[in-house]
Amino acid sequence: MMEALIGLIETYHIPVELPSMELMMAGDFIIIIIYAALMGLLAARLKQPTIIAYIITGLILGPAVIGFVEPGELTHTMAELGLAFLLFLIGIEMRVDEVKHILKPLLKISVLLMILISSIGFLTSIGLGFSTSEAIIIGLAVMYSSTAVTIKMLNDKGTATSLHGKIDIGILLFEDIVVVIILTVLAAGQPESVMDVASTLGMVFGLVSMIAIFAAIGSLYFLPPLFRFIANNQKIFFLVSIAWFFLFVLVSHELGMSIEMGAFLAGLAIAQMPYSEELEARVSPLTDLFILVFFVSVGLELDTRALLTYWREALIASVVLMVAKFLIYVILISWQKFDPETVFRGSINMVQVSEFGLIVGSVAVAGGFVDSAILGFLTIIALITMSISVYFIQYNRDLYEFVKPWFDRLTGGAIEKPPTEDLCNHAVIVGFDEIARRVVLLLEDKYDDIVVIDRNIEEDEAIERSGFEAVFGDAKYHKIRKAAGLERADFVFSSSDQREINEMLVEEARDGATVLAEARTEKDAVHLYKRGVDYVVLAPQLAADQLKRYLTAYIKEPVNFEKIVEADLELLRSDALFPTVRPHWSS
Amino acid sequence: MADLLSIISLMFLIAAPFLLLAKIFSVSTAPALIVAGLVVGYFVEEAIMLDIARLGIALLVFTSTVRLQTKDFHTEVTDPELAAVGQLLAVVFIGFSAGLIIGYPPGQAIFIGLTASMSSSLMGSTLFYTRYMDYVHDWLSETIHSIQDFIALFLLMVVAAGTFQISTVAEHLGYGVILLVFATIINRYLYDLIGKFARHSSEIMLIMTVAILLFFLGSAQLMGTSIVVGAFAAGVAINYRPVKYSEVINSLESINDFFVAIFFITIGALVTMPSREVVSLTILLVVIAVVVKPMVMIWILNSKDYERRTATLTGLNLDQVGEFALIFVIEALILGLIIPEIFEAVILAAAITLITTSFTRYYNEQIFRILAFLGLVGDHGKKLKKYSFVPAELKNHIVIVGYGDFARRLVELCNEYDVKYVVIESSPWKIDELKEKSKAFVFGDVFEPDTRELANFSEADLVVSTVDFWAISDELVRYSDQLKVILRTKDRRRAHELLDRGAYYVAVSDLLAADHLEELFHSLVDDEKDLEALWERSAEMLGKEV
Repeated sequence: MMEALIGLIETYHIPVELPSMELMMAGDFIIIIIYAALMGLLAARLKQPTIIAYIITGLILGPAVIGFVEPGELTHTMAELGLAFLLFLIGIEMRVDEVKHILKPLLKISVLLMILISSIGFLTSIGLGFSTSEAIIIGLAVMYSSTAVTIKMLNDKGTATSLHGKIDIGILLFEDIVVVIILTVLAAGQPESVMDVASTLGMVFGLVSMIAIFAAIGSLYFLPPLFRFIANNQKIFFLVSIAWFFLFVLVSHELGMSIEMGAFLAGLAIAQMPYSEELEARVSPLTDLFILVFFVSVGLELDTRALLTYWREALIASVVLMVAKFLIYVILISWQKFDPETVFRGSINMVQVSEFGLIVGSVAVAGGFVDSAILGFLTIIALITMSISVYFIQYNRDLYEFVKPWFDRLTGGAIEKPPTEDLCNHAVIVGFDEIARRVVLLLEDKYDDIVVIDRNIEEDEAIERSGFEAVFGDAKYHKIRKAAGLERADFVFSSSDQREINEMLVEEARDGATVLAEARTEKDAVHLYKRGVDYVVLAPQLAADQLKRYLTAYIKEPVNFEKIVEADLELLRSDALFPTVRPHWSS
Repeated sequence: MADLLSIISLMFLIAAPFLLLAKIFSVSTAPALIVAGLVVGYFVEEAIMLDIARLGIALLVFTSTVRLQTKDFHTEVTDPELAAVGQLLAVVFIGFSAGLIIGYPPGQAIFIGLTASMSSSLMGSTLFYTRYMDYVHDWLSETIHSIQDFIALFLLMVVAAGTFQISTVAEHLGYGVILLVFATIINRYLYDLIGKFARHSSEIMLIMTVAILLFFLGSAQLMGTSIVVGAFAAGVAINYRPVKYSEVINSLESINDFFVAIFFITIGALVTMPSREVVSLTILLVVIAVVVKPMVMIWILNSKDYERRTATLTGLNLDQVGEFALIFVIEALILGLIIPEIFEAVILAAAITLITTSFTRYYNEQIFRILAFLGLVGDHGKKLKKYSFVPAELKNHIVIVGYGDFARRLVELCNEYDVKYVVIESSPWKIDELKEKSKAFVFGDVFEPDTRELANFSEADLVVSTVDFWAISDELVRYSDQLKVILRTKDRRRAHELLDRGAYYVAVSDLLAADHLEELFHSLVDDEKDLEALWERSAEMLGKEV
């Protein structure tokens, strides 16, 4: 590696001339991020979804318009990783017991779905004048919905774990497996026999199953003790989780499988443990950054010449496919007896043609099955349907409310949505020091639900055994505070003396909630009072006062001191998490 | 040629077991990742990693600048400033001289001196939290680190000029100033505007923050100056921490951890099979970092009237070739200013010393005792009598160890009841207050026999340690068979242990605070919240209206 480095040094070492774009460190990456950030800013201002902004960025910077940026290897890799991180994140959010009850209906829906949509795609293409072989490829390309768009939107809206979210994700993952199979078959070139295709299929199934089994074994046997060991060190916890993610990515990549599937399984293995919320909070920012690059690169890959050949046909096909997809989804999901809202929202989320369709198209072109104009056709369909569907997903709830009167009559399922079990009017305790322990005991009679946020796994387990709820994580992350239901709590106590945390807590707590926080210094205490904390526990000063009272007793009469501290000593000697003995002063 | 995805995946996979080892041995992640990089180097040939690694450098500098608080800077020259500069100059001189003696030309030897002097620990703090320093030596070493960081950044800008000709340095400093001015404008005006424009979407604010960093990196490169300058300017632009941006700052940590991990692994991967010259140079750097640097610091702090234990513990906190040195040498190498030999030696020395510093920190008390026994850390006692004041008849008194908030209240109490007492304290800046408020005090370290003798330990009635420091509690509890000992500790588990060893009472601050709080609690949770009364008490405590 040193020789290569020295070679680079000789290239870089030009002190007088300005460096050109190629020599600049990751020049293309820099331009992409800056441009995407500006477009994203505009999108946020106009209340548009950021995905559109990112795709447009790619379109403008890429060969379709300005042609200013030629994506380098760093950009390609980050794009690949973007989707993988997204699926990893989704995997972490999934609890197996929450999806078990929808697995069977999902399987039924997915198989029929793909057959029906690919048939519609095929027939539409024939109707638009394409040849049979072209129509087959188009049918195979348009049957998927966009994992990236749907999951990103579900994640952004926080509805990934809703019933319709789970259904959509389940279907998308199934489609992922099918895509992998199809790509593997296409990449092998024209098959010589049915046996060829069968053996490829068998290999793919075998490999996916192997990876899934490995993930399951990991989740049951070696991940829990491993994570328990590293949980207390935030940096190592994060980096080892990332290493676990990359293990699946590397194996999937080397086996020619979809790295997204591998990443999802890696996340799923972690989802069953209490560390998942903290990990979600840590992985999200990486995902946000990398997935941006993914969407930009979708735009960057577009080529104007190929785009224009079949643009009229693409427009017609887009409309037909969106309507057909919606109807097919509605019929199949309501066939499995889900409630109308789930049917509607689950269906409307999936009307787009996926970027996977473009990949299928590219591989088909490379394999000599079709020419590049077909790829252009598929590209326009993908662009139109993805862009419109982003708005459908964004406003799916409002759309449902609009069509509800007619829609509910047409569908009408029997499976009730499970009631939401969100905590409300409860107490949230942040951190778990001695003061917090006492507060929990004092609140026990007043609140049915007490949730403790703490980063010590042994304490969390002990808290749960004592009948309270625990959330493992650092309260500085929004996801953790959300998991504890902070914004609906009636009482919040923070044993963190970090001013920044306490400011966040008082800001997020609802009006009327009682908020107590600890502080180290008088300056911090005054600051917190100004922010609206109801009472600031200046622990060092309170403790000093208390000790002074004890020593006053000692000075006056040592025997009194010994009586006073008797209860304290009993408390100090106790190993119980919630010792019931109370000190003298409170009685 | 392996693709980038496989390379990155392999890097993290190889790093995982080393991170586990780091956890087992309580070593920081940086050396674990560098050592992992040494292994990765066997598999990875690609120089493409350099781009990502340099992104890691930029992030390291960026996040450490974001972390800097303006209250860290002040114009008065106090002990930490003098100690930091003094140590830097001394170690640079020693390193430079040693380099010349070995046979390197001055242009290379100066780098040996500079890198050996850099002990800053950029990976130490998180971005988000303010750190409260409880112990003198921690506060001293943290402050010295910050000052040395700042000097190192300045030196980096000079190095980035690529030459030591004044005109070029001035030109590059000029570019640096332009970037800093722009960064200040963003900090004061634009960042808030961007936030409002984006309707405070945390995704967009994160992307904008990364974009600002990349903008400065790109600008720095276009100006022909180092990315480090750009990264520093970007840090200045974002150095701004109202709570509404807390999500962004938290999010940056993940991105930082990811790319910085890649940086350290890549650095390790750049080391080839070390030659004899590299090994000798590594040994030299390690000796300077682990032996010479602490000794210099001990000598400086001793001369500033710090207790020898404080001086030693501070010195042991600084006994490494820090992460900043790695940035320094990689930039210097890219600019062709240093030879690969020195580069490799610095990496190896950093890896070794970042590991050894965890051990010296863990065993710092034991190391101090050995060094004191060998007479290597100066004598105790010279300052003892100079700054202490103990009345002649001191018997059946209370010995108060430490002079913080707890101790101040006890001193007031003793004065009120006219009880005899003596305070033992080792921070020089508290001497004036002690002279004013305390009737008897010993300026010394309670570990030292002379200190205890002057405080007349053997004839005391009660010893109260107000310092929450395990080594002190561990030391004082040994006297529990001769006198009553009240100690202070953080948690019940340790308190239990001390009580079993004979302590008379153990003050667990949070427990005491909880006792006090319980009395007030009912005013808070009952339906008629009696907050007025509580606020009155708070106001009393805070000395102001609440």
